[in-house]
Amino acid sequence: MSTRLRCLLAASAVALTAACGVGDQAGSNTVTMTVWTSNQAQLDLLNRLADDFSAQHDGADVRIQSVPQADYTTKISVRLAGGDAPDLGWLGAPDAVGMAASGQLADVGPALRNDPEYRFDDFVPAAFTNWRGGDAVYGVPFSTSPFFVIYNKDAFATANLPEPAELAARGDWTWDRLAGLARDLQPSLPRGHFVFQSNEGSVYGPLPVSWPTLDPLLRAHGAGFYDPQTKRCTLDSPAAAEAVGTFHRMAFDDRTAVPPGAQADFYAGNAAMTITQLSRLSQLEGAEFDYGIAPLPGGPGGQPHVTGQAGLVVFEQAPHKELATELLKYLTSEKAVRELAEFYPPARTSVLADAPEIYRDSRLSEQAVKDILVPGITEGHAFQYPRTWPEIKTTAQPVFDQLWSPGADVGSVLGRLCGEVGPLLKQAE
Amino acid sequence: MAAPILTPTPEATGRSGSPAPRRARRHRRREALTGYLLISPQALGFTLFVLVPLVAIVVLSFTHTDLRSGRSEAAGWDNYRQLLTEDPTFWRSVAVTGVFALGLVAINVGLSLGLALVLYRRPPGAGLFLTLAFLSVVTSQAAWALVWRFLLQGEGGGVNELLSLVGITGPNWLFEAKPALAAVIVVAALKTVGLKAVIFLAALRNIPSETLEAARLDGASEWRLIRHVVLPLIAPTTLVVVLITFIGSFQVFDYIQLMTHGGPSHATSVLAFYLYEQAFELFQAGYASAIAVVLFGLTLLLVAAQWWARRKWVHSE
Repeated sequence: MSTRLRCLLAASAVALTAACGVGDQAGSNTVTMTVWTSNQAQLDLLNRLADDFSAQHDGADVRIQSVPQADYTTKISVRLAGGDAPDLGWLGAPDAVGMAASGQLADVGPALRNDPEYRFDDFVPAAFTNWRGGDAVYGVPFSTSPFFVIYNKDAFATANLPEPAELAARGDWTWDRLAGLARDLQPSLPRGHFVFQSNEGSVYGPLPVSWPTLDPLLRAHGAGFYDPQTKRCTLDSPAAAEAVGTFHRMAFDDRTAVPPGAQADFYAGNAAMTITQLSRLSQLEGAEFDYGIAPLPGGPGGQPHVTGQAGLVVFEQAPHKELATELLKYLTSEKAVRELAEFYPPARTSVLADAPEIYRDSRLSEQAVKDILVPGITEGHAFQYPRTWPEIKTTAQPVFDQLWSPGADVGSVLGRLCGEVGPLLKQAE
Repeated sequence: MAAPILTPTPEATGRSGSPAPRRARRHRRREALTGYLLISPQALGFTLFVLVPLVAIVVLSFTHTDLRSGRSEAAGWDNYRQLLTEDPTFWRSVAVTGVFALGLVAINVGLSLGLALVLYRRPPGAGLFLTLAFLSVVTSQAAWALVWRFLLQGEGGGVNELLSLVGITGPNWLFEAKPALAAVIVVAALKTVGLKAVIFLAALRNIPSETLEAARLDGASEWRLIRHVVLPLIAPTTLVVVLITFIGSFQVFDYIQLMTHGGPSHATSVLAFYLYEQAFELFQAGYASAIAVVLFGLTLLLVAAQWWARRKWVHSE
């Protein structure tokens, strides 16, 4: 064989090896954990906690894999289907409910309850709404983040109008009041600016991202998407129509809410008020306005406390389930939760008791921590996702889209919506 | 005259009447082996990442596979039966895809041919204009879609601001069913006008000047010259451009995902988006594979029809 041929064969072998990859040769003591954050400070903290865990568990090797959030669920699902499950990972509440129902998540309940040092009863019970199935516990929320209102103080001062926090202190902070205040404030804003932006401007988007605005609206009006007990859609109620109608009027009649497609953003200074969470406040970096924090507006249904959740789960197919469960316990222990609280609002009451101290250097004032963050978690309720949520959101979306046009009959659209999703809710029983 | 480089000699093809010398045969074998070795990484890559997934998709399409639960069971023709007889959203997506493809081909090919015909005459600033038109080609699709989403805002968007100058109140382009599809088609069409114009321009410059001169001497008007001389002569190029645009239009996904997410109310849900929704939002890999197979078959069928029709349109291959 000529030298040239030998070289070509060698090159081909190298190319083939490269094409096939060498695989992830994880050892028996290696635990893989998937997360969606790419924030270096958060990853550094997680890696440090992982190192501590390794030191306590005979040098167990913890590998944290960061997967972009946009593709996270898809990639995890594909890995699970392909028999390449990570040991544990973060999951959003709606995904966790679906995966638990499909048998993809391990029941970590016995391991948590049988360890007195873990103090499972330290968690706010409502925090487990989406992480329990009967006695089984399919995950532990590592972030229970309340939604609240943030507003541009300068805009209200210029228009000489009372701030939302003042109205809340007087017990006069409702969606009706917000809508009226918006009508008064709008004329003082520059062209192209609006008073109210939904959570990240997403109310017109796919159902999961619009929910953080719609759910507080519905709850404040004593309405809801469905009754978790009877699994009946309740969006066809007059209260739901009034709730969604309030926002519809703001967007299309009063023109005080950012309309569909418009890019006005609170953090860029183009909207005077929005609904947000603690983790989003980093966007205030460089903002050229003073801001204030207020609770979610109330209504005939009372004061809503709404939280968004992400939890840590162990996958049923995890190659090292026992070690993964130990890591889950470690990362949700009081010590770790206290450290992680800087980024992820905790659901452990012992940690919440020290919230003013933990959040002393955050963008929340001590008052906001006491009056909004802590009650938001202790009294808050996450939306209870039905098991068929993926099917519901896909089926509901085309009907939901019909809401966001100027002449939409809100009550009638919501009635049709119930017609579409009703059977899917029944399937979730 | 020297033989053309790409024409194989009788010796090289091994079809010579007399037996080839042994050394030449060995040389040919070695050359063939070298060739196979050189293409082997590409062939392996094609097999692993194109051929195997293609076959896997066909196999998956005959299963009920749920990525969420990891369950998979044989389904026979169930997915296809459901798709074709019980799924109105699928048929709506087929219709949307058809409208999208026709609109995209008409606008994209029409504009690029028109641009090429103008630039062919080398008006002042032609080079600069072509460069500007080509800028969109080198822009990433995601950036292009996001910029247009900004320009197409109902209130304060660039397009509606321009329309308001002439007293027209533009719609909320991406949030109203009818304008949404039209807007996405136009945005997708404008993206590659520069590239297609360059292809047409090359074809136009290949037309012998004597042919055009002869037609002019025969008294042909500009329109007749274009209609009866230029267009037939560049028909092979036109066919290729139409084909690639058509195939691309059936695969469109990015614009839909970034600009409308298939909405409002499925108005822009093309087949590729519906497939994505089934596979990665509902995790029904089997059903999504059936859609992929149908999409593949539809594209193949329509391309074959166009290829067959070339015999009627193209006379100068």
